[in-house]
Amino acid sequence: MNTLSPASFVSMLETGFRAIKLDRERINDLNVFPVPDGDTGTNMTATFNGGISALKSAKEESISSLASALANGMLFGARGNSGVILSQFFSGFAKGLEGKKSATPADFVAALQEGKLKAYKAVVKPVEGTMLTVIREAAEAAKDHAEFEDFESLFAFVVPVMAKSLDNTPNLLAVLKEAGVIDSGGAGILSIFNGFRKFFLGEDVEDSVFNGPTPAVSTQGDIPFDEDSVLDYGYCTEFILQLLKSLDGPKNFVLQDMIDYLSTIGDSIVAVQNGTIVKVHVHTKRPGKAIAYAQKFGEFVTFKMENMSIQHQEVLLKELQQSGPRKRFAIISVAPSEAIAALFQDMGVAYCVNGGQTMNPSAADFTTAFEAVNADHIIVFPNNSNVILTAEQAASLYRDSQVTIIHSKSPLEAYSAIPMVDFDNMTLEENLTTIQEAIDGLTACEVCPAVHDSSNNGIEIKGGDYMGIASGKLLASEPTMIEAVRKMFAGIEDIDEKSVITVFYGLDATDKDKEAFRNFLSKEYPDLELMEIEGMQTVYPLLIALE
Amino acid sequence: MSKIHIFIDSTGDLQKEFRDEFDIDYLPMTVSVDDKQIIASLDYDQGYSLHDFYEIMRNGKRIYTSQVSNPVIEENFRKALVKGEDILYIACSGALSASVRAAEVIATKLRVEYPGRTIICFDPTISGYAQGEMAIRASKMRAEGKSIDEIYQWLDANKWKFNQFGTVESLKYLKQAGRVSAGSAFFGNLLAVKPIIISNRAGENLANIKVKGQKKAWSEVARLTVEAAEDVENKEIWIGHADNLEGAEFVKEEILKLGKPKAIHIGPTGPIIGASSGPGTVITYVYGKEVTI
Repeated sequence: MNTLSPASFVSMLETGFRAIKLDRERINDLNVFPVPDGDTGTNMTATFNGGISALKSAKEESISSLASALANGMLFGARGNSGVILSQFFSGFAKGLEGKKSATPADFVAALQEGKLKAYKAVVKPVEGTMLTVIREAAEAAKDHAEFEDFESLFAFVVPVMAKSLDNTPNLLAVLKEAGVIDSGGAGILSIFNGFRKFFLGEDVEDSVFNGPTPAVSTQGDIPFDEDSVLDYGYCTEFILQLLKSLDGPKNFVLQDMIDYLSTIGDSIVAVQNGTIVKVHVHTKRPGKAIAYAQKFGEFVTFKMENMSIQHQEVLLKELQQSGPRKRFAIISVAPSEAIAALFQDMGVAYCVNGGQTMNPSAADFTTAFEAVNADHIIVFPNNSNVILTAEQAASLYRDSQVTIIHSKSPLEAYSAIPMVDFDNMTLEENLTTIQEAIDGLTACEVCPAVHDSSNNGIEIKGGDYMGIASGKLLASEPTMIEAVRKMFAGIEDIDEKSVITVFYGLDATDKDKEAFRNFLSKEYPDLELMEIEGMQTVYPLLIALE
Repeated sequence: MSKIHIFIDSTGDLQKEFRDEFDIDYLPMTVSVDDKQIIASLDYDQGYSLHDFYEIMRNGKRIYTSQVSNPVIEENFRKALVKGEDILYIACSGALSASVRAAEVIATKLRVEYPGRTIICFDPTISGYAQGEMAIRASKMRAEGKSIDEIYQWLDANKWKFNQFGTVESLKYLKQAGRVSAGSAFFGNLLAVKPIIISNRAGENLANIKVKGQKKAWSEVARLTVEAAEDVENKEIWIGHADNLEGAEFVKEEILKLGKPKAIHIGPTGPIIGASSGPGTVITYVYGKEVTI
């Protein structure tokens, strides 16, 4: 292809979007910091999603208008620093395509330069070894290269440059090297460009479900910020400003002046301008000054401000009986959804830590929970193997209680064991034995769609297949949910000794799925007593406890 | 020696055939169904069959229970006293119903009026078919010519050897009626967990054993019952149920896998215990090991 039509441009963008959608979990895994706001993959996907949604209402008459709509959508949809930089890159890119009805490879290369420039401008102190480097090196190499005949050869060249640049990021940024990862934002931009490349090669990119970022951080209720606290981190302040003729903007507003001013009151500044819209992100202890400055030029379209001390420490759904008299025993459980948290609390859990799929809690979340339950002995049920170590670290940091971390790898262990606990009549050791017996008698099953092809335990997994995982072991990967359950159950050796089956239906389980599941059970496992719970968890349409 | 008139009440669970065979009378309590006060009949003959009665609860209506009313106690006691009979009232556990205390107040008054008569209001610290079996044993002792005091002595010495093992479909009813005590964790949403409810020495229902799954719970009830019977070959086992014959039969089969009791009686649980424990309840009773809790 040597001319990119508006329709092809849209298809290219959609393919890129599908690519990062598929990649976002992998990109999320590249997080350097164990804080729950660092879901780069999810943030970038959500940002791109904003642009793609805006395309749907845009007229397909020219690449110029489409690129502009995309950029505008992304600017509004941007989440996190990586999302803002991404949106700004596409904003520059759109500027580069201004006035173009269609685009040649040379137009594209020129637009990359604009994108690069704007991306760099978006950050006050550009750091190398980030997505900026990946963008820059790709743009510059493409510019230095002889003119490309077609888009296929352009992407055949640019994508490997990006990949190499990405691999080099740990050599430029010590924090990456220390963490042993490549830059997540760079991985995101590579993923998008790789999707573009696939579009030109005529390769399809699997579509997948994007549930969007999980709005799970609660800043309500009792928070670890009280009359004795000191403001350590300031406020994460974000706003979109509409410059107004009735005020001092758009005529007199100068982005660089604002950035210079914000530098005097804060850091982590990201400020971008698209026409008369300005989007600003700053960490400051004096947000009032940022507001006053901005309001000289316009009014706010949106405004968000969070105390970062709380943002950093607090990831919890609900609290029960915080403080109160000291108790002998308390159970803390990580819950992947509000519905499951409510169930756990109903079963006697003193405190639920939020553990949605993209929200692995930090050690500080646990120590906050330890303090809140105020008990001599605390038993903790993690919900994921990724959480066990964090919880253990928290336990080793905490001196005021005896903390036992159960090695539970799903919420099912907690569900199975907690009702068997009896703090009134049994010692800690007896309770721990009872918990272990319950877990030993449990086969925890997870059913979820695969987001990409893979292979595990000798089983070939196709993206979109339903995987059946029992006790952490992949037993099935089948095109339908029920087939996956059937094959998984067939692989569970002691299934005939089970008498009770509890299923937590996830958000992705439809009424039809539930009906099919009930029918399957009554036909093929009629002796199992079925308990059904609307768990409303993400990722896993079915979580199944066999006891 | 005067004839001994044995009373149970609406929690004593013996149907007419047993009451007739062993000449046992009963003091009816009442239940309110559909805003009507009706007699809590052990024979389910007050316009509601066993199934009808529990269907009302399954449909979400609450049934309220009342203790034996004072006029009913006084009238029945007087009838016996007038005939020159002594009275042995084996009541519902005093921890679950105030009937035994109400009867004692009335007895105190009547003892003055009938100084030659003996009136004993006995708290068996258990109810259901255990209360019923006590009445049968009392009846047999009466037939052997034992005095009312001798019978009372035996009952009092052996009351804690009557065991109860119950499973309910949901703890909801017992909680609603305030007729169970247990650790706090029991009061939550337990779903797959089926508590087994025993009667402790105080005569309270205590949910202190937890089992996963209804059938496992019934199997465990059978095991506990046979274990508590000690020499099961010489014991009669009672299985009461609140419109759950299938469950009762299941427990019976499980018991038979473990031993050969002298007899296994399956019958309905009376409307009072049934209303408090809910439809689907299955409860075994056996005389054997002494309850220690």
